Amino acid sequence: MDKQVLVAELLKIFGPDGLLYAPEDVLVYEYDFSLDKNLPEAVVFPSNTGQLAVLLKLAAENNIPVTPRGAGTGLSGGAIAVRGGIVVAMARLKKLMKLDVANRYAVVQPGHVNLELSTEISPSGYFFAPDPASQKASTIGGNLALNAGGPHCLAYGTTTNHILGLEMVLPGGEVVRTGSAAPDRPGYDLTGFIVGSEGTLGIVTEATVKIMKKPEAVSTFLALFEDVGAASDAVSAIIGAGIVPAALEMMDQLTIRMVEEALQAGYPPEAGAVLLIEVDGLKESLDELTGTIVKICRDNGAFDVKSATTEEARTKLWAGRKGAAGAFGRVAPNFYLHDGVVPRSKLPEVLRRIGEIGVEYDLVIANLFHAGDGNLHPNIMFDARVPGVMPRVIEAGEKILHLCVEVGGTISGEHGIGTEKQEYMSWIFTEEDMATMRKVKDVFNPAEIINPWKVFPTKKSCGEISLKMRLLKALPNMDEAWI
Amino acid sequence: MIETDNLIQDLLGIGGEDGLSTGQAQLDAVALDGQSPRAIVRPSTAEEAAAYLKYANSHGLKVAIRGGGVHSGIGNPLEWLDIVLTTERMAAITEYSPADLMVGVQAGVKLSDLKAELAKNGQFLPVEAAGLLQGATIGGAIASNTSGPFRLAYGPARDWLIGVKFVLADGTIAKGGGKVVKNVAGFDMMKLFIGTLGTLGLIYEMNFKLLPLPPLTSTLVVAFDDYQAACGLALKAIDTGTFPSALTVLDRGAALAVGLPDRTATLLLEVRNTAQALERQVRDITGLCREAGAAGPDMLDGSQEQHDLWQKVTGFGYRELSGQGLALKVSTLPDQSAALLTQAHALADRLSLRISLLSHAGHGLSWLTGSYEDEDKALEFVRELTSWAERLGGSVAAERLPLALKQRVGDVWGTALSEGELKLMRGIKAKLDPERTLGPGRFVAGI
Ligand SMILES: Cc1cc2nc3c(=O)[nH]c(=O)nc-3n(C[C@H](O)[C@H](O)[C@H](O)COP(=O)(O)OP(=O)(O)OC[C@H]3O[C@@H](n4cnc5c(N)ncnc54)[C@H](O)[C@@H]3O)c2cc1C
Ligand SMILES: Cc1cc2nc3c(=O)[nH]c(=O)nc-3n(C[C@H](O)[C@H](O)[C@H](O)COP(=O)(O)OP(=O)(O)OC[C@H]3O[C@@H](n4cnc5c(N)ncnc54)[C@H](O)[C@@H]3O)c2cc1C
Repeated sequence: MDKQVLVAELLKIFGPDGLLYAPEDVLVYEYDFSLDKNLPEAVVFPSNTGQLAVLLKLAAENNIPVTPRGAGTGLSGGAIAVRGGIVVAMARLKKLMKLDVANRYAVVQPGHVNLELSTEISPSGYFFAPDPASQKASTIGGNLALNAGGPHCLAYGTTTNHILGLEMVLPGGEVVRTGSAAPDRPGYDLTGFIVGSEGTLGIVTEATVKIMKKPEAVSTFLALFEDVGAASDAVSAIIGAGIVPAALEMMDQLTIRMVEEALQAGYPPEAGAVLLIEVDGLKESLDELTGTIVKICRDNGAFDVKSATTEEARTKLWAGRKGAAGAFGRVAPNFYLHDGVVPRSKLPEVLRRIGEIGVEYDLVIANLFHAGDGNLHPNIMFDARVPGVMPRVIEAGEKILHLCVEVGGTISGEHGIGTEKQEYMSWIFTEEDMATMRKVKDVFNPAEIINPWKVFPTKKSCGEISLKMRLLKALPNMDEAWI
Repeated sequence: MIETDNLIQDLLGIGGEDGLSTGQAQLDAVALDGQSPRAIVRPSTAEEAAAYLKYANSHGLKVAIRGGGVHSGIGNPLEWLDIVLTTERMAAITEYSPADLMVGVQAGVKLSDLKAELAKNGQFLPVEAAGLLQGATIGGAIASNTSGPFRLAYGPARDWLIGVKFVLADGTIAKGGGKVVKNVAGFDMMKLFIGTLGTLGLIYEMNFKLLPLPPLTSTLVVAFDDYQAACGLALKAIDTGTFPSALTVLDRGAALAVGLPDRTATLLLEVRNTAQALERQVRDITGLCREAGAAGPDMLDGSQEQHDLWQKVTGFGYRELSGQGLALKVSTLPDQSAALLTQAHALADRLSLRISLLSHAGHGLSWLTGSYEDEDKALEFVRELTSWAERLGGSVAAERLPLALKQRVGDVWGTALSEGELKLMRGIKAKLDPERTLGPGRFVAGI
């Protein structure tokens, strides 16, 4: 469709203040927090489901790609309009539609920001459990599309466990509701399949989410180790002893140093690695649980344990953890963050080998991650201006992900595949696996009108992949964000 | 249509004699909706299962998958049946890594065996199913999306399934997920296969995450004169932060069925925790009982005693319902439990059914069993209760009905689903099992 005609059509649907189409206006919608970018022709801001239905009818009839976008904090390129076309920004669909405390659910529009939901319902004594680091900015729609995780997903499960029902618009404009607040809606679990499908099946316009009673008490503490080896032994031992804390995060020395220089959050620079551990529940249970974990840590070489005795100290520790991403900028202008997962018993071995990969490629790799889940975030630091550094960064990253797969893990724990890792899918899935997934996708989005060219391999040549890597840029500084 | 003799020769060619049963008594023992299959196949590997399925699929033969066979009858009447494929020879625990809180199992592993194996390491899988003692399998439990009282604490079975391997009707062997607890690579095929009742493919292997067994548990039994008070206390226990792990309200019949005293309404609560916290939970709940003017609570502390009671609660409804019996799974919002109890009993009184009802008041699933003399009235009962539940946003699944009644009910899952949802579900079936080889007619709306 000719751009002028398209704009005229979109104006009819969204009005002048629901549409951007000048190249300079749509520029900020060409990227997310990943490495790719591509310019859309137009960005629309629906304020109701009806408008989206009309748009998707138009799109299907004219084969115009449509890419849904939440806050654009995704790290795998999911919100990028790789085929151009229209970006649907969900920013105006952000109302809390319903809060039913007795039945422990809420109904929200997808543009609702994660943290604002918990804040808004906080007076009821309940909260929305998924807490991705980006929760101050990222949206429920983006969270459910990517099945986001967060530190407390160790105990409470990832986003998918908390989504009960959806309203979604399909290509062609049909509006479908799936799932329900009441349990076990008959039939196939459409809701469960849609969550985590990275926005490639339809555009979600409403979500029914589970809310949970807030714990009465929390205990947060740091265990200090000589090195990541000992700290990961402790993680394996804690899980091996059958203890699932509310959160169990690891930071290595480099990360600690950066965080302390930037934020003075109370992390001990003398430690080679720390575990940030949180347990919650009834206050009577915390001492015993904390005691058991501390003992395991000491048995595995922790030389000190520091408890956050005040709410202020606790907030500071978490702020340090959250601010780590911003602090990385102090060491190198660029970093490439990975998101592999390994069985928790393999953590000591894998961390050692990641260290070796860093040495082999002469790259600095920092580690801060969701240790309790085995969800690694090795962070390769570099300066993209140094000639010849990019191929090393890419190869080292691939080697790390390969290692995760080799020990029985996977290539993404929470950030998604998107465009970033689509060519790696064949490391873990056979042609049959992917063909089956695609078949189901075709039921929803057969012509790839919505969010095309994502998740599955495109059989791009290596040349094209490295071309994409040239677009690599520094992550915008995000204070108070952790990964 | 292929002759039975040829069929048998062909099946022998695929999996040999170990993989095949054709004795009439054996065939009759696995009959579904009054139809005996022509053969039973028992693959021992995914490849063998694929070969059987591919064969059936290309010859227009219809296959029903069977786990423990405890509840193979769930679903709409089967349109046709040629072959029953059982998972009994795929019954290995493929990988158990206690240190990773992870287990991999083949579909035919019996839930009771798995439970015993995990307990050796002080761990458990929060997948509950009626029929545990009768030989229900993990594949059957996942294929029928079972749950029980402890869903309140642990969520539905799907929250624990982290990887699945399956065989499609055309013999394609594929998988989703993996064996790590966090994994967003690829689509969530685990969710796709849960609750499919063998209509999308054979689930042959699954990976689960596990939990440590709770340190200590206490069970409280509180008697009430009316449903409202029992259900009200249940919700209050959640809202005041006593964090119960299970909350079940039983009517008179259900209480008797699980061996509790004859009371109008009984509330069972379970709490699990470390010693001091447990004491506090019990104290707080006792306080709530006082406030509500309820006697008791009676406490069960012995772990065996508690275990036996909850096992009976979970297995409620799995009784040999002789003759004119029905079993319904009812889904409502949690705060509708009391209304359900009242409504169901009023209906039953009017239509002369004898019913027992057990409601997991914390999460909204209830089980109702009933017996009747007059089929017309039973039909009316099912229909009226179904439309009542659907009006309130819930649903009824008539999981067990005598065939004559089943054929009259229409859809055993009622009419809760919208055309939009059904279109997607039919689309999924058409993509993964286009010949309708697997359980034709079994699923919602005759899928
Ligand atoms: C500093 C930082 C820290 C982070 N920490 C974490 C973390 O701890 N855990 C974690 O899991 N992730 C984390 N992320 C990644 C990211 O924030 C999450 O993936 C988040 O869920 C994305 O939400 P969003 O609203 O920004 O979505 P976007 O990036 O806008 O979109 C993400 C995907 O969702 C789709 N989508 C968005 N809205 C809809 C809709 N309504 N319907 C259908 N599809 C839709 C998009 O098409 C896209 O594929 C982090 C990112 C940053 C920058
Ligand atoms: C009266 C009654 C009461 C019940 N009470 C409860 C309850 O309280 N809570 C609850 O959650 N459930 C309940 N159920 C459901 C029941 O517990 C489960 O259906 C049972 O555990 C299934 O196990 P099984 O191995 O015997 O499966 P089967 O009975 O052999 O099979 C059940 C279904 O799953 C399919 N299937 C089996 N194995 C596979 C496989 N490997 N791949 C694909 N499909 C497969 C079969 O085709 C069939 O459709 C009840 C059912 C009835 C009839």
